[in-house]
Amino acid sequence: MKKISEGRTGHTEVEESVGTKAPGAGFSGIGKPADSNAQSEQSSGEERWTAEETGAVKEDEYREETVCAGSGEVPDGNEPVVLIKGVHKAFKDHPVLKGVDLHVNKGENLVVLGKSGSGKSVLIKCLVGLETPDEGELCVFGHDVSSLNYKELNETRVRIGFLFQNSALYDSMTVRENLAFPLRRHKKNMSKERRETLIEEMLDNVGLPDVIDQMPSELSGGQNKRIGLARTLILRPELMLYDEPTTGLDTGTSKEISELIHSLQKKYNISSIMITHDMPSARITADRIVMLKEGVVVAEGTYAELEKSDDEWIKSFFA
Amino acid sequence: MQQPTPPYQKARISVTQKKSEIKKWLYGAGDLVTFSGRFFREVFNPPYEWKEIFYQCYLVGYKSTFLIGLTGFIMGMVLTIQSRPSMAAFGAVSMIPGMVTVSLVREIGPVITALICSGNIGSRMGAELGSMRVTEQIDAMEVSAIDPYRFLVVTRVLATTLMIPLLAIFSDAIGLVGGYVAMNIHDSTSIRHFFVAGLAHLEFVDVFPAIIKSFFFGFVVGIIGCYKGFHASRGTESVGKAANSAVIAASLAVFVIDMLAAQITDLL
Repeated sequence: MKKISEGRTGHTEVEESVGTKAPGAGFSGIGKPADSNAQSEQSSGEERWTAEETGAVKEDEYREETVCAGSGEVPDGNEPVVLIKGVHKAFKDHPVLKGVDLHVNKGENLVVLGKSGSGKSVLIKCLVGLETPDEGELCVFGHDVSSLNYKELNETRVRIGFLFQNSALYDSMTVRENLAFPLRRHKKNMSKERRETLIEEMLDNVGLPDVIDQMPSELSGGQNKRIGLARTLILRPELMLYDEPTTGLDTGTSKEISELIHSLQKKYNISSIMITHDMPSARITADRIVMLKEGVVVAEGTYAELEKSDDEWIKSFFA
Repeated sequence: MQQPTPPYQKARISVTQKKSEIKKWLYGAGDLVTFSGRFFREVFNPPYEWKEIFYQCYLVGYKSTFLIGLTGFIMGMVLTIQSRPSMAAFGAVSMIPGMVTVSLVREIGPVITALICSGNIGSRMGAELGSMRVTEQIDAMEVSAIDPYRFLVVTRVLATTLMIPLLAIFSDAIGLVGGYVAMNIHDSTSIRHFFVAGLAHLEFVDVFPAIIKSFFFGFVVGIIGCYKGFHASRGTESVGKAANSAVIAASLAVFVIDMLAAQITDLL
């Protein structure tokens, strides 16, 4: 088993070796080359962040019936990280999703565009088990989320990062405690020094190394978003879900956050789904765009392709 | 022009609404029982959140000592001052320490402590968890594969269950000091004599049931506060509603438990 590299220089090395990451190994396999890994294993003692800890090798712990039908038919290496088939969801008598089909490939950022109330947020909440679909299949890493039990769902959740619309930072904790919280829960053997190093690295990554001891209430909206992003990325997810990450921010900050999301995603080779109706943000981050209208996918393509569309409804987004 | 609703139809609507309210209340009660049952499943299931448990004990216990102490002191004084004329009429002034001590330990100390905690701690928990629900902090815990029930509810309920009995004992002690001060307004007695005379009247059936019922008070204050906050609906208004309903429901539950405890103690 491998572990991630240590120290502030670790991420540079992560970037270099990201292409060699084994499928399904999450971030456990990234970092230094084999020799370096051996060296740091010797120097760090129990400070290990193994594939086992990320949940990536716990595949055998899932029950067989949770495996998505047809997921094995896709050729190896091209299997989508997320596969959504015919998902329906209604709240009382009000249908929100009416048979949504979409997929996300490895390392791809899919932007879901749509007007308020079109079911975008409900769709990604279904992916992490915060909402349950009435019908359809939601396959994440080859397993149907709605058929997972609580333990299996948590194994899957560890591999997914979710950035909420309002960041959802724990307001009774400092920035340091917010970032340490998921590490304390999921990396119980990690030393305090290693944890502190990771927190500092992550704050450096989002450009806020000086706010470490501040409370979320002392930060601006943009800073809160950055800290929320850092907290989500600290567990090295394989899939990121962004729920309107630029809502409520001014144009400049919104652009900064979008560029940050884009650069971190390419750096860590994360697959992601971004819910937004912010077109400049979609242009910066999207590899592919899916447009949702009244709970149904009505268009799909790259930003450039959709921009040229003759459809009035689609054109209204690009105007 | 719209026709006025006939009286029989109004009555039918009213009955339907009442039925729906009763049904809603019963569902809520059932939900609360399930919520409480989960506490007993989780509390004996390690690993424990020690740091959070100690922090909540600090918040519930230490942070409430002044308020509980002041209330206990005033209650001891008031009890002594109010009972003195009647006792003096029977020439039983020397019985005042015993009467005040038994009243405080059996009833007033635990009940007043629980009611103060319902207002202070129950509302805080309702508002805090309600606010966390509304701002999606509880959802953020869930999607990080961290069980919010274990981290937020178990720790808080455990803290109230352990701390409220201690606060009740503290309130009793300060109440006796208040009684001693009030006694010295009209009469002169030493603190040693007051305490010895008072404690001499205490029996096992006065102390033990009072401590046991304080654990129940602590449990209901914590669980109702957490339940109301945890199930707050989305919207800032619901935070206020959660805090308010936590106080009302917890206070009511304290009286119901006290009534049941009185009946059970009577059998001993």
